[in-house]
Amino acid sequence: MNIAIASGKGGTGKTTISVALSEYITKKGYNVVLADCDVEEPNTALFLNLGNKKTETVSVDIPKLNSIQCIGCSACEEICKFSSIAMVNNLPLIFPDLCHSCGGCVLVCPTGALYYEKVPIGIFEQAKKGSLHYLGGLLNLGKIQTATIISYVKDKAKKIKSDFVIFDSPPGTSCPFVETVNGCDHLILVTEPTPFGLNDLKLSVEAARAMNLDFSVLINKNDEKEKTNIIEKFCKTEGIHIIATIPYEREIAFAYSTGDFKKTFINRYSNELENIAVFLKKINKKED
Amino acid sequence: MKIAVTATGETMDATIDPRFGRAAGFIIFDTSDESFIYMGNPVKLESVQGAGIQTAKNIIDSGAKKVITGNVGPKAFTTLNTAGIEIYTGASGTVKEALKALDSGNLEKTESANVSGHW
Amino acid sequence: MKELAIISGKGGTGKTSISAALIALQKDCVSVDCDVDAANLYLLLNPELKSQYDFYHGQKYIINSEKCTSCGKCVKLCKFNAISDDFVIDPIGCEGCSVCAFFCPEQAISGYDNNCGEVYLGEIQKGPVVYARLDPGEGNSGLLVAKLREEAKKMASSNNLDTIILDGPPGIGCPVISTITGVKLVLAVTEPNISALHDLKRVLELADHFRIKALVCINRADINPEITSEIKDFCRKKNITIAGEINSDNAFLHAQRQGKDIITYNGTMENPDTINEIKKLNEIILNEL
Repeated sequence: MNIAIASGKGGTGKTTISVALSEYITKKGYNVVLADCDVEEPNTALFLNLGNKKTETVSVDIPKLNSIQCIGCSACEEICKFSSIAMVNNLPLIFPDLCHSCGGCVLVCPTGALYYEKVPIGIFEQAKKGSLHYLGGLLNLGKIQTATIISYVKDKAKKIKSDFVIFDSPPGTSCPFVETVNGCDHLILVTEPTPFGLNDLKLSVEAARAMNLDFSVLINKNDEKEKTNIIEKFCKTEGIHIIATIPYEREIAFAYSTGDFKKTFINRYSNELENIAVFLKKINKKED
Repeated sequence: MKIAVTATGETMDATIDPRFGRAAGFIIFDTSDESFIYMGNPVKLESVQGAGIQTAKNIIDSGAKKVITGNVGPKAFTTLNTAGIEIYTGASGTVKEALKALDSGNLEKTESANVSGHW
Repeated sequence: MKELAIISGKGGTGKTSISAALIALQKDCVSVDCDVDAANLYLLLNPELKSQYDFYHGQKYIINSEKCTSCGKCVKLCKFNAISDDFVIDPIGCEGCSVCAFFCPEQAISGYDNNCGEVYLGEIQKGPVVYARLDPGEGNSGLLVAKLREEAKKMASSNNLDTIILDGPPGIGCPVISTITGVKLVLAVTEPNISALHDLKRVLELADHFRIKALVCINRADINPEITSEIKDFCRKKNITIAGEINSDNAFLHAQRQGKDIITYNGTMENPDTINEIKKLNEIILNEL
């Protein structure tokens, strides 16, 4: 079962929940893949005490020119929608930073003067710890192909036999988020009961609905003293299921800050985690 | 020889535009007869990507062999450089003053972009 | 023109709260919310909307099922897996490269202008506010940010303002790069936990990569004094100034609930030093700008 954990707003606790839930489910005897898809700022591994990770380079195809074969027809410049090719002195000047690797220029070139070269954009890494299999990626600084590495991580996840795959998503609602959550069986939107949290949750809900995803909301860092919970109100009006509510506790915030929060969190919130696990199993059975 | 100078106005007394890719326009000065024309820059602010490249191509088409500007970004620089055009950055004042500065050797040729790109 | 970009690497460290506070302390400035994925700054600034327009960039493609002969060439050529087996192009997956349209033997595929979001131009007492909404699933965040920055420069020029404050997005990718290129100063807002420190290092490296000077502000510094020290040590070694150290304060949440920045809020603070610390941060920033 593929579960994605996302949030419009950053810092609501996606990684906390991803890590805690993975650990909780493995303790129940299941095989879990935890895929960190926040390839710009991956943090999951910081909390897992993994040993050595196996890494692979992730590359994209960028066109390269064999100038001797070029006849200066400009077909490549004409087809490129991303302004990455400019004809100067009758030869194509290629701007790799703007290239989307669509293949157009290489396909239209009548003489084969343009060919592909693999350019590294980041790395993929993995490690196993008991029945938890960690996957992650890291985008090189200055590169823009976030979605490519996320796609690479997801493809690797597909090839591993497991009971649950948990995808820890990057924040936001644009391309990297979409790439991560697309095709998942269930999406958990993590939020906090603040005006920013609500504002961004609404955007995430819109995105989830546009993608026809099955989703629920997890309210994290809840202030038990507040009488009206703006997230609860919103979910009630929209008919959205709240999968769990976890209170804000400074002690947990401190534990999180040190990187060593799993035990404390799981002990404190075992009921909530159990409810989440039960809910997920229920949806999974329904789909079977 | 033709020299392109970024300009905020249409005369030799106009001030240098500090931008290249989205410069308001260019004065194309011909050293052979000291004549000049003004070339507006159709690459507008709306163009969010590849502005520097497009402007550079327009300058190449104008026949200019040297460019005087305040700043130039990496893609514009690469395009001009590939075409063999010399680029002089750090210019200020009016177009007339900048050309004089170039003539008296007070402007340095740039070997790389001096600002990062906007895309 | 003096541009300040406020970024963080890790999300949720307090960029927007601090951006709004700094804006409140300026005499005048142009405010820009570069977090086009999940714009929050307007919730604290409450700008009066003056105009808005649709943002278009690039094209998406669509298959005319009547002309389509199901030859499958487009599916084979699409590098983004955006075309389904029954020949429907997914507008979210489509990158607008036009390859399918170019090679379709029946000319059955055509492009349409891609409306990927909206740009909003508003105003507060301090000056113009520029923000946007990127439609969910869109991949043009960097370009939309670049558009906002151009609008901000236009506003600054026409209003004779020389300061632009950019509230940045989380991460280190496309929209962050677009936020910081060419700015005079970066302020990295962090907090004392290992994730934020890990991400801070990446984001400072990014600023360095673009040769931009960076200052650091540690928010919620009291949550873990040991890691706060670690952040300070790291910055000292890299010759990066810690321009601010702010302790947790519930007042930030109360202010947010009232739709106000912490300075305008002017209510009871849990911590009496907070406001002064922010004012000090502002002084250091103005000095650098």
